[in-house]
Amino acid sequence: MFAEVFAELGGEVTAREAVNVGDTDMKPVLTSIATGAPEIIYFPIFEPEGNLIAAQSREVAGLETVILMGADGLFADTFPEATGSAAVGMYLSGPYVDVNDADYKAFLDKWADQIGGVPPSGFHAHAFDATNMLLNGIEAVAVVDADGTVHIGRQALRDYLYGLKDYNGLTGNLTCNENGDCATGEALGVFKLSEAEVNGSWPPPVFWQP
Amino acid sequence: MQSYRIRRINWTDLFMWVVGAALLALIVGGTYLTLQQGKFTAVQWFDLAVFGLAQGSVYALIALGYTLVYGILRMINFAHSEIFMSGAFIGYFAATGMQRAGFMQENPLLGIIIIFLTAMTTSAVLAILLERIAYRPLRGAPRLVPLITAIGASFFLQYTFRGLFGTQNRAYPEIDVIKGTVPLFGDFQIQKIQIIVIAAAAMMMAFLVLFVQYTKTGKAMRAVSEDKSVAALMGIDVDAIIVRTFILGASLAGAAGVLYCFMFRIVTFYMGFIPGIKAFTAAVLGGIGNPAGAMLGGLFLGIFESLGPTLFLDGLGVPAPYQLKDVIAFTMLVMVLIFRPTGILGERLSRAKA
Repeated sequence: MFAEVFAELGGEVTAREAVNVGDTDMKPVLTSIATGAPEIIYFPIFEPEGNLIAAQSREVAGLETVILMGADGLFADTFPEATGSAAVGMYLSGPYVDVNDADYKAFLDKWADQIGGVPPSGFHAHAFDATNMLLNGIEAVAVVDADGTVHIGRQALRDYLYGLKDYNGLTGNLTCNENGDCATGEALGVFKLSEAEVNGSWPPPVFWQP
Repeated sequence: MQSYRIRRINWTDLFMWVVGAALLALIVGGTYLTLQQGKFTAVQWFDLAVFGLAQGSVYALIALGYTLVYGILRMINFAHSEIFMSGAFIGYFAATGMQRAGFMQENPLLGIIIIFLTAMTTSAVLAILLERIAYRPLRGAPRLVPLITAIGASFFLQYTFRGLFGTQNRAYPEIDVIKGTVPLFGDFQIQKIQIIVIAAAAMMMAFLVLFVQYTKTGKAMRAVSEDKSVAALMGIDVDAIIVRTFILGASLAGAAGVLYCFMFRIVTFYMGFIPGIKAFTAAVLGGIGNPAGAMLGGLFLGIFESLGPTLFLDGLGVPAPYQLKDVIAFTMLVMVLIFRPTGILGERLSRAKA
C-alpha cells in the first residue's frame, strides 16, 4: 500500500524487505538494501527490531547518512532513548492532536495530575475517545432487569457504535461508517526526532500534518 | 544377484537423497544467478561474511556451554540461554554504572575487562546454583526429568529477571573506544566491534581447547564424560568436575552475553531465547558433546544466516529473502542430520572413542 502510493507519487522503491520478530542482526539485510543506494528507509515496525535497524543502519557502508523513517510502532519515549544518536534526525509518523486544543489540554492536565508526566506513547487520545464511545454505548443500550442484573445486548451495542455520528472526541468530530471505522484520518502527524528526544524530552515536535 | 541388490534399496533413503540433491541444485543455481547479476560488490560480500562470522562466534560461545554439559551429563541444559541473558544483564548494569561515573571514558580497557568479569562471574554463580539446586538432586533420575527441570529453571530465571528489572528494552551504553571501523585495503574495512567479537571468541575457544586437552581438570572432565563410575573409581571427584564444567560453560556464555551486547546494544529479559535456540542448533549441527563441533557449528550457522539469504535466494528473485534466514539455517540443520545423524564432527568423535 505504502509502496504503491509512493511509486504513484513519483518515488522509486529500491528494495522491499522483511525481518522476523526477535531478529537482532540487521546488518545483512541492510547491506542488501544498500545495493539499491536508497535515500530513505521506511520501516513501520516495532521495538526492539526498529531500534536495531536504526542503530545498525549507521554501521553499514552506504547507509551512514540515509534518512530513516518509522511509524507509530516506534512512537514511544523509550525509542529515542534506547536508540541513541542514530535516532537523531529520524522521522516518525503517528497520532497527533494539537496541544492547543482546549479539550486535549484538559486531558493532558488530568494525565499529569493522576499518572504524572506526559503520555509515553502515541495512541492515548484515540484510546480515550474509543473508550468513551464504548462507555456511552453501554450506557445507552444497557438494560437492567428486575433482579438488578445489567444486560448489554451485543448487537445493540454494535448498532449503536456503527451508527455513531458527530461524536466530539479529542481526535476530532467522529462519525463511524458501516465497517465500524470511526477515525477522521486527520489526527495524525509526522514527527522529527532530535537530540532533545534522545535526552528524554517527549513528545517530539510535529514536522508535518495533513 | 542383481535383483537381490535392487530389492535392498531403501526407499526412504532414496527419497532423502533426492530431496538433498534438489536442495543442492537450488543452492548452486541460486548462487550462480546471484553472482551473475553482480548486484553485490566484493566489499559487500566481505561485509556479510564478517557479520556472519561475528554472529557465529557468539553462537559458538553459547553452544560450547550446551555441548560441555551434554558431553558430561548427557543432558540438555535448556536454562543455558538464561545464563547467557543474566550475564549480559548484569554486565549491562556494570557498563551503565561505569559509563555514568565517567570511568568508562577514562579507563576504557579496564572498564571492558570489569564488564566481562562481572558478567562471567554472574553467569558462573548462577550456573553453580542451578546445578546444585535443580540438577544434582535429580542426577539418578530418568533423562526426561532433568530436561523438564531445565526448562522450568529457564522460565524461572527469565521471569525473575522480568520481575526484578521490568520488560522494557534497555539500551547498552555506547562505548567510544569500540566504535568506528578499521580500514583494510581498498574499500575493504571492518568494524572494530566485529574484530573484538571474533578475536575474543577465538581466544576463549582456544583457551577452552587447551584447558580440556592439557590440564588435570580437563583430563578429569574427559574421563567423567567417558564413564562416570569408572572415573570415580580412579579417584576423580565427579561432582566437583561437573560443577567445574558448568562454571566453564557459564563463563563462556557470560562473555558471549557481553559480546552480544557490544554488537547489538540492547538488553531485555527474553534476549536469551533466540540466541539460545540458535546455539543449541549449532551444537547439534556440529555434533553435540564435541567442543570443536560446537565452534564449527556456531560459525557455520552464523555465516549461513548472514550470507545464505542473499547468496541462495536473491538471484532466484525471492521477495524479502531475509525473512527466510531461519528457514535456511534450520533446513541446513535438517539436511546435516539426515546425512550425518551425529552432526558434522559427531561421527569422528564416536569412531575415535570406539
